[in-house]
Amino acid sequence: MRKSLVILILVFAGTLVTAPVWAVEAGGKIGLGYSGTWFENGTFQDEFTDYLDLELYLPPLGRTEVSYAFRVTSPLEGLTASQETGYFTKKLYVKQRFDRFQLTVGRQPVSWSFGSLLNPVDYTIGAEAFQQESAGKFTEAVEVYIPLNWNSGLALVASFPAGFTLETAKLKWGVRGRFGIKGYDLTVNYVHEAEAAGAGSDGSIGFIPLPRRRAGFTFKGDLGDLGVYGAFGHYFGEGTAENNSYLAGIDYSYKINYDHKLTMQLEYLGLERNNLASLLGGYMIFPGEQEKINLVTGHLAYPLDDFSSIALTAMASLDGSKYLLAPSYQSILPGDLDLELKMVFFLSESMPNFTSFAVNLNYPF
Amino acid sequence: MKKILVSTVVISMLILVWVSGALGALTAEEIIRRRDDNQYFSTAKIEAEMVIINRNRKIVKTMTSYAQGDNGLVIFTNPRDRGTKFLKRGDDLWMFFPEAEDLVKISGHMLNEGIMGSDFSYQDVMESDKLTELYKFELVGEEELDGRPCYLLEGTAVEGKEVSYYRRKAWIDKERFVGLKEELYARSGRLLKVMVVTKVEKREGRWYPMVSVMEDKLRKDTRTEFIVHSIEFNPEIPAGTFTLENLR
Repeated sequence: MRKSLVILILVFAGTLVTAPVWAVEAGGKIGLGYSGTWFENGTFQDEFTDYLDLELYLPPLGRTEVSYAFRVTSPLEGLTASQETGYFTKKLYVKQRFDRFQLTVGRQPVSWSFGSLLNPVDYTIGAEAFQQESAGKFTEAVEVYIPLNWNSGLALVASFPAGFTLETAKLKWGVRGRFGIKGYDLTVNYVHEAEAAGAGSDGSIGFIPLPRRRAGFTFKGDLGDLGVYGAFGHYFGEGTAENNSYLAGIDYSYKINYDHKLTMQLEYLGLERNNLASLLGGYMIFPGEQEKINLVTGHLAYPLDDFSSIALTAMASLDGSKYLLAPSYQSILPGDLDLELKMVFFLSESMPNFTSFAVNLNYPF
Repeated sequence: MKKILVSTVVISMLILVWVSGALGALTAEEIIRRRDDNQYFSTAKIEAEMVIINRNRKIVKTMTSYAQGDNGLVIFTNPRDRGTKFLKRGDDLWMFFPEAEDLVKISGHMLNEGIMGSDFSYQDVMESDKLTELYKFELVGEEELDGRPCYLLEGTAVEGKEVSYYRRKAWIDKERFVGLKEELYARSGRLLKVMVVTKVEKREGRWYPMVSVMEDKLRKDTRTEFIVHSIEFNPEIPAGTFTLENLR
């Protein structure tokens, strides 16, 4: 059944791509990946992944837009019956633009990014780590966006982490105001988790209860040639102790020999360890007695030429107990194939060290 | 008496010819103003293609862009970047990432960065200010470029104006008043970029460069072609085009 579904989707996608007379267009990417991890005790685990991302570009009907994007996981392995094929809807929503507001209803990404590497005050904590998108941002939701001026607006979101239901206990909601003031992007937000959302819901790693209510403030702007940003989060009690998070960061770019430009980003994050675990997922979990964690994260990117670049992401706890280094190389190969090579070195005093690698090939179409 | 009269007439005619010739010679400001009349637009919609070429490899990026005064909006349409949008309002630059529909303010230092890996910076693509408002030009000579006689002008940035290049040399077609070549220099005098226009067409009564090739002189074996497929001057751009609301 699964195999038939995949074949049907592929045929459907192929039809859309090759039939220019249709108003509907399709695009996406096909990805193949191989990754492995060596643990300190000598064990090695590896995994092959393949996926197909497909998005249908439907022309707007007046002021109504429809978006549909999904991912099919393991379509190749599904065909060879070595792995079960999966289907994940990323977007399936209708957006209506009214004179004074926008209404978006359906499965959609709810992202409150503001340019930091880690975001302790996002709508969904833990949805973004190391600039990788995760499934956590996509949720069944209703969003109303009310613009106040060209760079300011108010977003009201109600989402259903456990799927659409009329039970208010399963409703998560939030409000975010965004204001452009004198070249600075300022945001304030408040999130109320679903009462029924127990430990591990909402895309977190599974054993840390989320703060039920939280409020956040962020800013981003320029100080001369330096980009500056920061965030403050307050997590109310109920399930977890009341606590705060602090984030401060800078970004800068520097031309080396008037030639290639090195871009840098460095940020400090201080917060309670429980919230940190939610934010970082499997990385940098801090078991033990430590309550407050101080973390420094940096990112360097350097283009080698027009087609390839190298980058290094590093993370360290200020007490020196944990380090994470993630060098990567990206290149656009002939034939418009994207190649990505990544390594992660994790060093810790209290947890097993590991080294992992990943090779990914993507073809956008 | 007759001799004196003839001499007076001849001298008068010579003076007249000299004066009319002197009056007909254009100043640097007039040449640039006439170039601006062709190339400057207060509002435009452009369908374009950017081809980034490095040795024998290339990447093609297609886009639709809107410009109005100091505001610019670029929407990428090629498969790799489809749905990625840039909004520039004054010195503010915003980027929309289509995957998670993130909307992020880009730091000011990125404005001089090559847009999507090309040799054109965000400033190059979105800057629509009149050159006469940004630079003080001097006419330094005349040269022939690919068989076309050109005015050669040199411009230095007006103090207090935010510009990407401190000095620029411009070759302006004497007949069509369109820029055919530009050399862009840093304050230090170092040559940064050279742009050559390889195709000029008359659109809506004005000569406009349809194909330009930008070479970043600080990088080896690389160039970016900017090909204008269509340009519409002074189109009706809906209110709210240059807003964050429209990026979402």
